[in-house]
Amino acid sequence: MTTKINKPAPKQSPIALKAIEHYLGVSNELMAQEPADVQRIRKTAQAYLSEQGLPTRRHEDWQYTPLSGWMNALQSQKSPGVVLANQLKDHLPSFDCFKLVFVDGVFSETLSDTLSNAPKGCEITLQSAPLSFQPQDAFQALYAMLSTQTLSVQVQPKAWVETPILIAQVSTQPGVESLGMKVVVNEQAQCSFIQQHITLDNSVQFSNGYQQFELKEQAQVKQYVLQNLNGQSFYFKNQGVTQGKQSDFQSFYISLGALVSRHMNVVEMNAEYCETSQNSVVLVEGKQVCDSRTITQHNQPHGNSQQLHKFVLYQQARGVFNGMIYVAEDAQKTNGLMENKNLLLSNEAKMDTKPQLEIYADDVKCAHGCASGQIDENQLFYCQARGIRKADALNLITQAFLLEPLDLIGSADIKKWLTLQVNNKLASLADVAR
Amino acid sequence: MLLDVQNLKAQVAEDESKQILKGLNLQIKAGEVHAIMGPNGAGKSTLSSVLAGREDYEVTEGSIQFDGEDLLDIDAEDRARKGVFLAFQYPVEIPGVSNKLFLQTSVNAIREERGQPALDMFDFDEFAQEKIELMGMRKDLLERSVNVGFSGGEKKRNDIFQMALLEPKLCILDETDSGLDIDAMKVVANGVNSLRSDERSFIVVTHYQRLLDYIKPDFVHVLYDGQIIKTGGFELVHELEENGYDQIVQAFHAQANI
Repeated sequence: MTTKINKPAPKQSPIALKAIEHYLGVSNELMAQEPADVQRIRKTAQAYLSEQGLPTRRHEDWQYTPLSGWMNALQSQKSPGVVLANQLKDHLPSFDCFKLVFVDGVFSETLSDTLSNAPKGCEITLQSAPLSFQPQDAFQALYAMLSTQTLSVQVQPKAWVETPILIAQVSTQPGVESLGMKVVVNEQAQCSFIQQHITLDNSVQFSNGYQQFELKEQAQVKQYVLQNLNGQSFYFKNQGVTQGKQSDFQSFYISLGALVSRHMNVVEMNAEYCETSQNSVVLVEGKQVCDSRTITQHNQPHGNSQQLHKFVLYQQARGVFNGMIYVAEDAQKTNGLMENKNLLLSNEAKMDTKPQLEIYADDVKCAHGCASGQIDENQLFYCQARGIRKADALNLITQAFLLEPLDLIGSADIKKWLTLQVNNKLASLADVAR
Repeated sequence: MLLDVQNLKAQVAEDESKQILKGLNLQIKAGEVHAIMGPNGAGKSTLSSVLAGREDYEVTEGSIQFDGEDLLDIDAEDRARKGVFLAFQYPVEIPGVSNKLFLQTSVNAIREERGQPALDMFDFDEFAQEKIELMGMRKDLLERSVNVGFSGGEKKRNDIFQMALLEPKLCILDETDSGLDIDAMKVVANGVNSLRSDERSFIVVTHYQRLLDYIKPDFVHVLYDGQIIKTGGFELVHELEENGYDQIVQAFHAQANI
């Protein structure tokens, strides 16, 4: 990975300074009770934020992610509320999962399956300290400053874990939620993860996750993230994936909620014959902004990466896609495909997209494409000429467009469940389409 | 009378300079097959589009009565529900929407209009399979996306297949024969012939006589400059094939100048 040289902090606005001061305060409060090693992690992060400040619109990577709303909605740590199992019934999948439920950022023993009963070959533990690493951006630093819970999953070599591990983050009140996750999947092991973000009320969440996946040789991981926070909330996620030889990582990000969301996935393909699949399904409306980003680093030969990111934007919603495929000099015979397709259902919707390739090897096949458009009137009329009502036709076409990435999902249960989640939101938007 | 078009004038929507239909009259009784021929730019496709309710065109004068109702008051989807079917000159691709979903939605929309219960997946499958064989369509048709990856001939056969499923009262074929090879043309002609009945009428818009040789229309109209300038029987097809449109057009101008 290329090391980033930290640029001097851009001039901070008064609200940015206020936000920094606020979160330094929240972090200090936490630290007062914590052991020295945790304090060290927090202090490193605090120092990073104090020096670098928060990103401004002048920062190229943050040009399209508006932060002023988030800066104005300062949040604090919260104490867990009470959630009953039947309140979650409609939100969680009905097929068999190993359930890990976090309520207001804290692990809930009553709502979760017993950790000691984890699927065979899986070792799941919880720590109260954040993961230790050198922050690369403000939200990674904020994670290390504020996180009080880390979930660690170790999958034993050759273990095939058939039951998906479900991590549901449920919130009942405003505040900070900052879960860390560290997943190590050992040689020839397989595992899948469903991560859900649920708000049970209408209060503002500052959800800021950080997670690391480490795939050893021939490991296979499938990940499904369903972000369905309420429309007042803010969602940030930084995810790093490192891949060993012949490992296979497949990820789906389904973004339906939050006022402003930013999902970042960095994959380092550090050995030969890695397979990586990264996909987004984004459906936003009103004043929602959804930002989905990937950095795919082909560092060794014979890697295969595929991406399909689809956005449907209603009303004044804004979508942002930023994808970089980096092919190192040694990474010959790389295959990289990145597609971003967007459907804008209103004249006020806006999409900013930036697919990038940076190739230093000479024998590679890389392609990126992006297309943004409005609904095809010919398709609409064709449906109408067959008796299908215009609103139904619009829904049919939009749905077909949006659900395409989910075709790549192998598990019929998961595909059906995610399709239903997207369709439910689509149905709720049928009236605002035109 | 199934269809009664009186003095129809239409232009490209919001563009008065582009008047295309200039006082067209056409009467079709139930069970009749009418062919409409004419040179390029005469308004043949515009007539098809206006009958089907495409919003790209604006009717400025005249009336269209269909089965006793004023068609101009009705949206495209309701015209389809009431039994108007347009086989497209260029059938449209809809990626991601399977033929099964598309056709089941469409068949059930029309069944709803007729007061019939909706067909579930299994009943629909059975109903569709019969017609798939009739039209010689590929067996995996229902699983594929609407017209995606279809050849020109397959797309047009797919439209005729839809016509067979929807059992309309008035079938409008908008240059369905253009670009077809002889085998595809026979399939289309057979499809049309097998659907002919006392209650169903056809408007076959075409450039060529070939399809008409198979279909044998009851009436043939020559459309020129937005009007029907001559009407005859099947023999007119061969007269046009031999002499072209020039004589008829000249005769029309001579009469207009009197």
